[in-house]
Amino acid sequence: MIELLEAIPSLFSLQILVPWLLAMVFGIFVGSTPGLTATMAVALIVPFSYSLEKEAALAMVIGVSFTAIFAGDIPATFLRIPGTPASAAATLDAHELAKKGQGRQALLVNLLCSALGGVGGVILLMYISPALAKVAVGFGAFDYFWLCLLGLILGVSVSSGRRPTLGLLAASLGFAFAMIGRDPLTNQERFTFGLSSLEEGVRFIPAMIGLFGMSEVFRAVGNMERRRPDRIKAGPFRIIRSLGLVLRHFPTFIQSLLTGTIVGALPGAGADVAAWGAYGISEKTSPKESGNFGKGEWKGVIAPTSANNAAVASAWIPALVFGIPGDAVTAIVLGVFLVYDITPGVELFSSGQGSFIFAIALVTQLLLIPAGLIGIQFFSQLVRLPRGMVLTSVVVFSVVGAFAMHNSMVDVWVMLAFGLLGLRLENAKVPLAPLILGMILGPKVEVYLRQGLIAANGDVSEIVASSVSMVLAGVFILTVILTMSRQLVRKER
Amino acid sequence: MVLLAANGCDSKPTTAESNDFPSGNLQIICPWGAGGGTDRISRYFAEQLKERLGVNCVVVNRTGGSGAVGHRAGAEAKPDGNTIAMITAELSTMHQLGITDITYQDYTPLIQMNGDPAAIIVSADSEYGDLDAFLSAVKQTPGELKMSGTATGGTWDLARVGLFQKAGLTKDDVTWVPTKVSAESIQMLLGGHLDAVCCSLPEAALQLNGGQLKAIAVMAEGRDPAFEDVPTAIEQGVQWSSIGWRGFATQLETPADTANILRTTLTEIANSEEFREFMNLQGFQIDVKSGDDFSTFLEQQDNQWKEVLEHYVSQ
Amino acid sequence: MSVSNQSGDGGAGSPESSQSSVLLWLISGSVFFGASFQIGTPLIQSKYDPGPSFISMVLGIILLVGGGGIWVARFIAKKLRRANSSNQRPIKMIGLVLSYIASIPFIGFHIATLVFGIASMNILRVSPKLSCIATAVLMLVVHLVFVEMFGIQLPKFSLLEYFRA
Repeated sequence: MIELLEAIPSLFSLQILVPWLLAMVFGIFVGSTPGLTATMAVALIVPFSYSLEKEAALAMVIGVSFTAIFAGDIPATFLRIPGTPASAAATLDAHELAKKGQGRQALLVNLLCSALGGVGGVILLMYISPALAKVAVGFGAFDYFWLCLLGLILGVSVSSGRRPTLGLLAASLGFAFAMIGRDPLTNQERFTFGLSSLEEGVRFIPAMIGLFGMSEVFRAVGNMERRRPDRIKAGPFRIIRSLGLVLRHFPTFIQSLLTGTIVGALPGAGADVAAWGAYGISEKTSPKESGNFGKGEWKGVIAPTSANNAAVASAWIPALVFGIPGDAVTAIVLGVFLVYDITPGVELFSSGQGSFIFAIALVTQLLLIPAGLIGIQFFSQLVRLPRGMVLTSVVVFSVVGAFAMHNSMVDVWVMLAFGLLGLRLENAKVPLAPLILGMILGPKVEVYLRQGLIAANGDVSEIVASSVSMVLAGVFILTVILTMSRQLVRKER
Repeated sequence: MVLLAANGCDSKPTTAESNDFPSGNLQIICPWGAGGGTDRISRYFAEQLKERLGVNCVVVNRTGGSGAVGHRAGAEAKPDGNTIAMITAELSTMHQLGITDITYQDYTPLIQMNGDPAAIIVSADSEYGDLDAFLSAVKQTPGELKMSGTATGGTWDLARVGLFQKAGLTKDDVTWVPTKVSAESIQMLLGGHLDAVCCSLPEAALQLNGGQLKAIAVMAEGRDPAFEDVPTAIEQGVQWSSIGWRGFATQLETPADTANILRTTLTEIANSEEFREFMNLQGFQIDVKSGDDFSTFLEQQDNQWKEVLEHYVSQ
Repeated sequence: MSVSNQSGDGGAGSPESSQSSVLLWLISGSVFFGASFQIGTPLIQSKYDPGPSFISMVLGIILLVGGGGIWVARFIAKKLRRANSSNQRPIKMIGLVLSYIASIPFIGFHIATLVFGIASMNILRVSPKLSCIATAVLMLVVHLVFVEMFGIQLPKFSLLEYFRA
């Protein structure tokens, strides 16, 4: 702790702070452009950082990695185009709030939750890492299977409101779409119908841009009345007001922070499971507001956003203790650490290098606020342009963004197809979020189930052999019962 | 032979005689995900190409099917030299497994820059101190022990099947738990869900150097200079070696002079001192082959795996 | 993608009327269930692996049963309603986006975007002068971000390349 406090002042020099903040603003802009991901931002900043001093370089790379998820929330809020899978959880309520003219307020709350969630995540990272990492690697295939299935059902349950059956079907459809392409375990082709362009499968970023963003454009075109302008300006006073909102829902914040940290530390789960899990849990634990979720409930903004940044921090736990990165961004950051001779291991946590990294990670959360404010301000000016311009730009950026992911037109067609599918589904009152959730978590569910069965030599009873599996399976069944009973109760009324 | 524009800051390259390549942005298609070893090497070369050729060069990760997707994308890209394909060891085996129809003959090979042998890795407190102990344990309890490293039929799965075959064992003597990437397998080994992992040494370098894991055999002709204390399988009486290699290629129809510019530049990079430092840092071994040497090597690899796969598929 | 293509009538229905999703579930269910049988068995597969087609069959059955269930429930309740959409603009926009994407590989990204930008803003009632300016700015931004900064090879007008060579 003392070392940490000593390390922080050394970071406050212009040579470090300037590139650091610039890198984070860059991260925000890249991450908030549909189709460009945080992974791309981090990958782009890495070669550049090598031209700087070690301190500044590490600060830049760590800084950008923490802008990843918040940046994706900006277009999610204003345009309903989530930039990352984890952002999809925050889209539901934040976009509803934006429709009511509270987009900026929602983003400010989101920004505060991200920063505070990040601080909480980093502090937990420093103190409980070695212990939590041991638990995390102990998770077997079936444990992950139940965890992902639980994340899936929690997400479906909260995002499909009074229509859990439709939500479940949408999730199954998304799961089935995700199976197009190559089977990850045997590399067998599935549903490609002999087309090599389908071999890569349906990637979820173009699918997500299409399903949420394009369908929203098509809908908005038919419904061109002016959106209610944002009443609230971003500024210091508004931040205090937003802080008040966060404090009012403090239990939700803490609960989501812990969910995010624990789930994020599991290398097989990640920030998306964390965000959806926290979102689902907060709905289940607030019976009073549960009807408002998905319609602009503040808890629905606070829960996923504080959980996902905590998860970004705790994704470092397995990376720093065992050298196992849970996702691509962490893998790239870990690669940079190696360049500077920072080797993962339990010893890192008591070394000067460790406290140096944690100091950077903590100050990054503070810098996230100015960087995020610039992004919010810029974006909210953009969306005030004439509606026709905004919608046209969204289409062009979605097309280029989908193309740029893999320099492939297939992704662009996937995006359009999902745009039409999204329009059709929403006309039929089918919730969209479960579909994307099925695409994200479905493949994980399948892989862990099959891995587990193979490792158990086909013994099905092993599926609940560990105590973790048993608990998760119990909660899963409980959630299913609770969710389905909601449909029945509605029918009886 | 051809003048190379090495002015890093100018975005327009000076024209070389008779060939104005490169005329636009370059891309490297990497068949593996961002953050992994193949990706890191691709990105290193992208940076260097940018400096040496004066055009932007980006890495596009096209993952899936244990490399099948990216290999196809690389082979079938527009043959104007602007797309360089990263090719990896899976190229020698995938088509024999019926996963894809792409073979090494669908490319103009440029250079090989790396080759890391497979290794058998166990947890540090494991009872298996050497290859012999491990193999006899496998023999005594067929099907009981669990191993992992890649997908079923992936490079490291085939490497251990080849090893088993030479040691008189069969592929089903252990249960192979398939994973998408070796990092996942290492995690399972650390968590005590597996008995051994088969992957390259650099992929497990952090855990090996950190003392959580130990390597009992490396499947190469000679020891790895970065892991001098790990004996080879041959030293321990099993005549088997298996290399996970990486290289660059371009499309079959790419004009020869364009391919030559690429080959020359890539070879310069691969022979540079900075590249040596970079690879040392990452723990990867440098193994440079270009031109006919690389083509011959690719042919040899195809034949080596044919034997193993015949055995694998027949059972 | 046979599923999404049948959504020709993508009009923005009024909030009260909603289309039925039954057909969607039944069609996607039968496509995925049926095509599951076409998934080959890998040459090598672990003895205890339920295989690459196992889950897709389960999903196909869920979609079929769910779609059928909703249909039966709706049939009993006689709540089957059809949406009537009167607004033509979404259809125009979908057609425009479709031709935009289809034309990119042939006329290149830049020209396609120029045409699309002006046409789309025209449909969306932006004045012609403003449309041209906004499209130009948009193209500049896209070019700077994607081509210059990220080094993406956006599809070019192939005739242009022809002249250069």
